[in-house]
Parts: sequence; structure tokens; C-alpha cells
Amino acid sequence: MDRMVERVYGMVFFGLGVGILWQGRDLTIGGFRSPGSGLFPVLIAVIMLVLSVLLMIFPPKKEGGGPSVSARSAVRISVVFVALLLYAFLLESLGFLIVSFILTSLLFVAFGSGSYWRAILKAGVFTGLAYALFEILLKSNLPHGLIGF
Amino acid sequence: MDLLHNLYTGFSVALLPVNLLFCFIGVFLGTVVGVLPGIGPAATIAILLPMTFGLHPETAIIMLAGIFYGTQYGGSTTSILVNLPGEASSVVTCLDGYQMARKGRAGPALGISAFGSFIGGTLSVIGLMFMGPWVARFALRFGPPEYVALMCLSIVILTFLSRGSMTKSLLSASLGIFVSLIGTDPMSGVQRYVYGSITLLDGVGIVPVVMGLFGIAEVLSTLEEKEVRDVFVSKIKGLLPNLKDWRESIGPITRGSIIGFLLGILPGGGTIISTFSSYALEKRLSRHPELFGQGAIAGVAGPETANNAASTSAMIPLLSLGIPSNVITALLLGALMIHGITPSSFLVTEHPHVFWGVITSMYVGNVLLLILNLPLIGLWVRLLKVPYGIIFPLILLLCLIGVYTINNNAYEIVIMLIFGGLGYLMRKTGFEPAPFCFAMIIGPILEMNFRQSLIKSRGDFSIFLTRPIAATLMGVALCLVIIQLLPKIAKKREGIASDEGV
Repeated sequence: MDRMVERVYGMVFFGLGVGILWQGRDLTIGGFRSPGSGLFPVLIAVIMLVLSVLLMIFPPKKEGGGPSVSARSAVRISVVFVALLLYAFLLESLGFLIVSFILTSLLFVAFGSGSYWRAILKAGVFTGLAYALFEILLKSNLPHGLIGF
Repeated sequence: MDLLHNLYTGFSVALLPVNLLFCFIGVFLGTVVGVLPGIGPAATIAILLPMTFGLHPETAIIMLAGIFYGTQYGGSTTSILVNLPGEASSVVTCLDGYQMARKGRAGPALGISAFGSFIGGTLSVIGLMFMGPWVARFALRFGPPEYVALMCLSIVILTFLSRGSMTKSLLSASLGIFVSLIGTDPMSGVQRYVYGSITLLDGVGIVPVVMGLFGIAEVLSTLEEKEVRDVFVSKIKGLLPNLKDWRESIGPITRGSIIGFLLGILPGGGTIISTFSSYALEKRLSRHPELFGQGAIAGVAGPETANNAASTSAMIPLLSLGIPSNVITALLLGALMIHGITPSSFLVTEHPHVFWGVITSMYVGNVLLLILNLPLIGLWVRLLKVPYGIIFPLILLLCLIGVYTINNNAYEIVIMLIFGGLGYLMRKTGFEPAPFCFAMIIGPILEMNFRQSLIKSRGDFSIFLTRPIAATLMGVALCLVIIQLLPKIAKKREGIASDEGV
């Protein structure tokens, strides 16, 4: 079973190698005498293909039984990850203060810090401190978004 | 006389008030992240990198290097008091350090590891002072093929020392090199794998990738576990080791300094392997090997000295050749380049204030660390009690702001998150992130030298095998790969499971 998982990893990398070759087909490889921009990617892709075949043929034994995550953890991790992605996409339109406050509130809840009110309170303090440090002290020019400051 | 003159140059840089301040900030932060499990020097340096843009290059490097060797001090505190290594390089310290703490000897354990670190670090700086310029002179004979061979060897050694399957580590490294090729080809100006993205035109940034792989991924994986920490709370007294402790430690400290120094210089080698080697050596030399694992002070003194000596001598390949030997020095290389300095064997002659300033700042840093770690030990113990629920949201927010402020570009955050997700998956599937990151940073230098070599030899690949230095380096790399294929040694290597200083 473990070995099967390793073979799947090998296949993923094999696919990646083929993908790199296919997507780089328009780059000039040039000759060895005057190597073009495509030569090195081809070389790396070939190394990747060879290694992935090796992994499929000789999968390592003791690598633990593949990935295992409890459903609860998986949900928590996905929620945090999606929240972080939303932060990136909403940062410039909503502004630093609003998105940071919402995100840190959620993070404090996710990392289990008592009641919701305490999480919101902490988030407020955190966001304020971060704003003071980066915007006022370091003049980082954070996006203002909806709020004028 | 030359050396005195150079030392004068160095100290006149390192002792400037602003450099002293940043050296202090560096070693202080280094101790903090060393104490805290979960965030390592790589992520910290990446977070702080954008903030150093406004500083002089030597000031920036002095601070960032301080973080690196500072973590080696801090890491031991957690190992001794909590039996939980703050850094991968202090795993060995848990064995005897925690046992000492349980027997009421936490004080001497902390004391000897601080003194050992100080002695190892300082001796290593002295070694660096003599070796650095010598290596740089030797490296003047290096042409592109030698650099290619050296970098191949670095990658092979790094994967050799990584935990788990070497095939997987090499795959991880090759993926790293591929990621480094995304963007505009510096030699021909052609766009590669950009797909019309403006953010990708300049290539995938080192900072977002490192923050993702080592910051975000780490936080994501801690979301899985329940917090279990048992801080050793009994009062710590008598930090100064007594005469008997010293007698038992002085040998391990001396040998640890030498082992650490030598292993630290190895390309791809590093702090972790030096701690294991030192521990094994002391156990073999000891008249009472049965005491190891039950609180032998030699088992704390040796490895703790070795990891500091190694983290200092790891600067030699960076400062003398411009080739990093691990992820951290690779980040420092990135920092130097951001400041417009391309490290090479000419660094000593072209930027003596950077070269000698950084080296002498390490003397200063080691003194500061000794002061920080002995009288202030109570502060670090208290820091250990700050719950993860506060620390991790803070780390995430710092990563998000830090990455955004590099170019005021929200897409950099997306890149960081993609690599955060990737780093998490790599951890779950047994692919090491360290070779990936290392290969990604040296990828562009590798490609450039590879192409220049071929142009020089008019397309003849034998250029890598006919020049003596290049041939030797390639030969060693090849041997390591072949050795790995022999099952007996492969098994042994897995035994020394290690994780490059991240």
C-alpha cells in the first residue's frame, strides 16, 4: 500500500516533467555550442522524468503510510487556507484594516483562543498594532481600500 | 599585518552604533525564533528581508546572519527545558539536556550550552578569518565549469543529508530548479513559463517562496496537532557549570568546534549533521558511554558547540565563493544580490567592508548572545509559555504584510500561499522542502554557468570532466549518488535522518 502511494508521487512528477517539456516546446533549444533558453528546462525535465521513473520502479519502503489527516483537521486547514487566499484577493479593494481584522478574528477562533468576543478583541489589538508598526512607523504604504486611512 | 589591518576594517564597520544595534536585533530575534518551535530562521529571515531594503548591505547582512547563529543558541533552551527541539539542529541536545534538567541540573545544562556555543562560534569565526580569504584566492582558478560542478555537488550533498528517500529529495531539488527558470531568461531576454503574468516576468520571488514553504506550511501543519508542551518549570539556578562540569566538557567543546567548523564548510553540509557526528564521537570516546542519554554533560556540550561552529563556518562558501551551502546562506546570498552585491571570490577585494564587517560582527554577536542567554534565561522560559494560539496568527499576519510590502503587489501573497500549500503537501508526502528551496535559489546561477561552460567548450560536455577541480567535484557527487544506490548504506543514511537547518 505504502509503495503504491510512492508510485503515485512518481507519476505526478512524471506528468510534471512531460508538462515542462510540452509547455517549453516553443523555446529555442539551440545547439550545445550556443545553448538557447530552452536547453536547461529540457535538461531539468529529463532529469525529473528519469528520477520519477526511478521512484516508480524502486519506491522507498519506510516512508510512513502515506498522508493521513483527520477530517476535522482537514476542514480547519482548508478554512484557514481559503481565508488567506481571500485576504490576498480582497486586500486592495477592501483595504488593510478591514481584511486584517476579519482574518485575524477568524485565525484566533481557528487556533482556539477562548470565546468569540475575546478573539475579536485580540484581533482588534493585533490589527491596530500591525497598522501602527507597518503604516505609521515603517511607512509601508498599505492599501486603504474602503476606509480613507 | 594584513590580518590586523583587515580586522581593523572589520571592527570599524561592526562597531558602528547602527551596526551594533542591528547585530543586537538580529541575535535577539534569532534567540526568540530559536526558542519558539514552529518558526525557524529561514522563515524569519524571509519575513525581515524586505525590511532591510533601506539599510546598507553590510548592516542588513549583519542582522540577518545574527538571526542564523542566534537560533542555534535559542534552540538549545527549548530542547533542555521542554524536550522539544526549537530547531532541527538541537534535536541531539534533547537526549542529555532534558535528562539533566529532570535531575535538577537545568542550570549547568543551559550554561554549558551557552558557553560551548560561544566558544565554538568564536573559534569558528577565527577559522573563517583565516580560511575565507584563502578559499577566495583558491577560487580565482574557478571558471564556469567548476562552479557548475560545485553546485551539483552541493545539491547532491544536501539531498544526501536529507531525511528519507534521496530520489524524492532530488526530485524536490529538480522542481526547485524548474521554478527558478520561470520568468525572463537573463541571457536571451526570452520569457519562459510566464503565461502573460506581469508578476511572473521577474521570476518567482525567493521571499514569497521561502515564507510559504517554511512559514505558512509550518503554521498549517500545526493546525493539525493539539498543543502539548510541558515546560520544565522548576526554578533554574546555578547557571555556571562547576569545575567538574568544565573538566568533562572541555574535550567535547574543543572537538565539537573542529567537527562543526569542518562540516559547516562542506557545500550542502550543515549544522545538523555536525551535532549528530559530535554526539556519536563523544559517546565513542567517553569512558562511560552508558551515561549518555541519562544526562551526560558531554552530550550537551559537544553538539551545542558543533552546531554553532558549523553555522559560522557555513558563511565561508558564501562569502568566499558566492555559493551558499544551505538554505539560510542561500537566503543571505539573495539578500546581498538585492543590495546590488554579487558575492563571488572578488567579494574580499571589492567589498572588504562587507566581508570583514560581517565576520567581525560575529565576534560581537557571540558576546551579545552570551549576555542574552545567561542572565536573561528567565525571559526565554516565560516566552515558552506564550500559547501557540497567539503566536501563529501573529506569524501569519507578519508573512502576509511582509510579502505584500516587497512590491505592494497582492499577487505576491498568492504566490506565497501557493508555495505554502505546496510546502504543506510536501511535508505530508515525505518530500523535503529544503532541497527545493536551495535549488531554487541557486538555479539561475547554475544555469548561467552551465550555458557559459558549453559556450566556452563549443558544446563539448567533457569540459565538466577534463578540468581537474571540476572533475574531482563531479566525481564526488557521482560517488554519493552511487553510494546511495547501495542498499546497506542507504539504510544507514536513513538512520541519521536529518533536516537541513531550517
